[in-house]
Parts: sequence; C-alpha cells; structure tokens
Amino acid sequence: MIIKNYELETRIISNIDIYNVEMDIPEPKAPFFELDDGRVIENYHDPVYNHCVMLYSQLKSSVIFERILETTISSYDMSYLDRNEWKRKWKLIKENHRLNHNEKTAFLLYEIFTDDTDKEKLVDSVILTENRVQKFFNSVSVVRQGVDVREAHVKNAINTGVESIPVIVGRLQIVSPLDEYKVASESGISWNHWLKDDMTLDDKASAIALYRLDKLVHLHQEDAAQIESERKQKKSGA
Amino acid sequence: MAVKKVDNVEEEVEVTTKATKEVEVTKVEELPDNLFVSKNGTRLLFNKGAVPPNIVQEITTKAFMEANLGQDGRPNSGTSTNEQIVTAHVFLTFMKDILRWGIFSLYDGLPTNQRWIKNLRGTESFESSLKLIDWNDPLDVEVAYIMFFAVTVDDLDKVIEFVND
Repeated sequence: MIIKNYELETRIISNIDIYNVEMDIPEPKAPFFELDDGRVIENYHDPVYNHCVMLYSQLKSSVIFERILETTISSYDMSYLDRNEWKRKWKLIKENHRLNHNEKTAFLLYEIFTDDTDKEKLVDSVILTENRVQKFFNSVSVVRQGVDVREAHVKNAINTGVESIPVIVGRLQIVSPLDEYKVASESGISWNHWLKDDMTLDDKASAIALYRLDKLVHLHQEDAAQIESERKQKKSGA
Repeated sequence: MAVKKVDNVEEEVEVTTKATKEVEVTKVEELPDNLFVSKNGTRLLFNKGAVPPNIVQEITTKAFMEANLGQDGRPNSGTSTNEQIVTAHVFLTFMKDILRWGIFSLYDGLPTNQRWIKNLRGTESFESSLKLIDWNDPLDVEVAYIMFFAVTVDDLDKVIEFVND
C-alpha cells in the first residue's frame, strides 16, 4: 500500500484483535445528584459528562486505530526516521507526556496517516468494516409486495433495546465480532477456523451480508404471517 | 481679503498667500494577516500547520478529560481548591505543550538584552520545563521566550482558537 509516497507492507487481521484495548483515562461515569427527597441518583444529563463521553469515544477510536497500525503494518522503510524534520518532531512528541507512543507508531500516526481518507483506506483494506458488508447486503434484490425488503415497513417489529456499542474509525464502522461469531456458528464454521483460516475480507463480508438479509427476509415472512393471522381473527370475531 | 495702498489709493485686492504646506508622510507599517498581539503586548506570528492537527486533537482531548474527570471517571464538581489547582496545572501544561511546537514566532525578534535567559534559568519552579530547552538551538530559545514571557494564560482562548482553526 502506498500512502503519501510511503510504501507500507500490510496484513489483514481479525476484528476481535482490536477490541481488547486499554485506555489510560477512566471511562466517564455520570455524576451523582441529590434529589429534594434525599435520594441520590446518577445525572445522565450533566453537560460535562456528556461531553466527556463523546471525547472518550473519540479517544477510544484513536487507540483502536493505533492498534490497527501496530498490528497490520508489518514493515516500512525505517530510514524515514533518520530525516531531520522527523527527528525534531519526534523530540517534541517524546517529551510530551500525553503523547505516549513508540517511535515507529508515532511516525505512522503523525507523519503518514494524518488525514481521514488515508486512515479509512488502510482500515477498509485490513479489517472487516460495515462498508464492505453493506456492498454485499445491497447487491441481492429481495422485495415484499414490490417494495425492497430493506425499506419495506415491518408492522410487528419489537425494539428490544439490546445493541452493541459501535466502534468507528474515521467514518468507517468496524463489524462487531459478535456478528462474526453468530454467522460463523450458524454457518457451521468453527470460530477458530473463521479467525485463522484464509478467508478473505470479501468472503466474510458476503457471509455476514447474506446472513443479515436472510434474517430480514424471515422477519418479513413472520410479519406477513402475523398480519394474516390478525386479519383472520378479526374476521372470525366479527 | 486684504487692503493694499497703490499710489495712495486704497484698493482692495485679493492677496493669495501661497502657503507652502509641508506634507507629512507617515509610513504605515504593513502588518501580516497572521500577526497576533498577546495580552502583554508581544507581537507574534502564528505559524499555521506547525503542529499536526491530530496531535492538537489528542492533547486537547486528554487535557480536557484530565481537568474535568476524577480518578473514578465522574466529572469533578470544580468547587474544591485542589480540583481548581489541578485544572490550572492541566491547562498551563497544555499551553506549554502546544507552544512547544513553535506555533508562534516573534515578529520583532528576541530582545537584545539576554537577561531574561538568566532570570528564567534561575527560577527553580521552571526547572523541569527548561530541561527540554536546547539553549544552543535558536528555535528552542525563541520558543522558550514565547512560552515563558510572550504568551500568558490570558491568551489561552486565542491559542485554542488558532490551533483548532
């Protein structure tokens, strides 16, 4: 891969590899607030808390991107580090206690991957992103009474409120390993095999896309059956 | 209008006094667009791009969170003296961290009198920050002057505005 005239050697990694990152700043928690009756609750509307939550998520994305750099870029020409311009920059980075990186990573972070487009280019080529899954998801046409199932209304959908917190780098959302695990297990592929085998990112993305589309088709079928059953009940009741 | 006597005849004549006006030309100094005058009157030039934007973002975010979150992750009330001291310290180091990258240079150059160096080096509380300065490097010396004399905490808002622009 060539970014800003720097030639980098990259390798593909599993999404689960980037999830286990440690942050050197505590995760924000809502501050306590005492009600008039003396009860103490957590105030989720506190503006500083909400701002910190947003910043924390940005920092986490940066740490995850750093992990992606460290694990996917297997090599680059180390003579770049001998340039005087970089040496001065590195001196300033090294002395700043808030910029805690090794030189190899710092060079990638602050010299090569300085804009979002380049970051996204790397992320999309070494890790499974929702972007890639989406391409396959939209490629198969399935309709419900003439309307695309992806847009058709589901009357009896239930919002359980259960969701996983997305990990976003730049503008790219990383596929949750939980989704990968579900697809692997329901497709009869062992988790180990899914992680270690030589499946390409497109293979995995298409498997996830078809799995989701299949689930959506089932949801519409069940919805249609439910509507029909309600109609029959109404008719017999009348 | 003036009265002029010609052959004892008084006649009014218009006398035009040709006054030689000296035009005073004031040369207006052309100031660059990136000039910034700090609160203590030092004229500085803002060097856009001196610090990479992702470094600014990382330093700013961490400083904000350090200043506002306690060890347990809950926002500080900001009322205790200790919390206020911590906040002040965080923002002072934040300023130095940003200025260290050479975002400003001195428009009028360094003062000819180098006594400030002596005073600075003799101040014990600056010892750790001064360790980082290479006094043989003219760029470092200029940065040191900017960090400790030219820019003050009152300029914090402007510095943040500049680097976030």
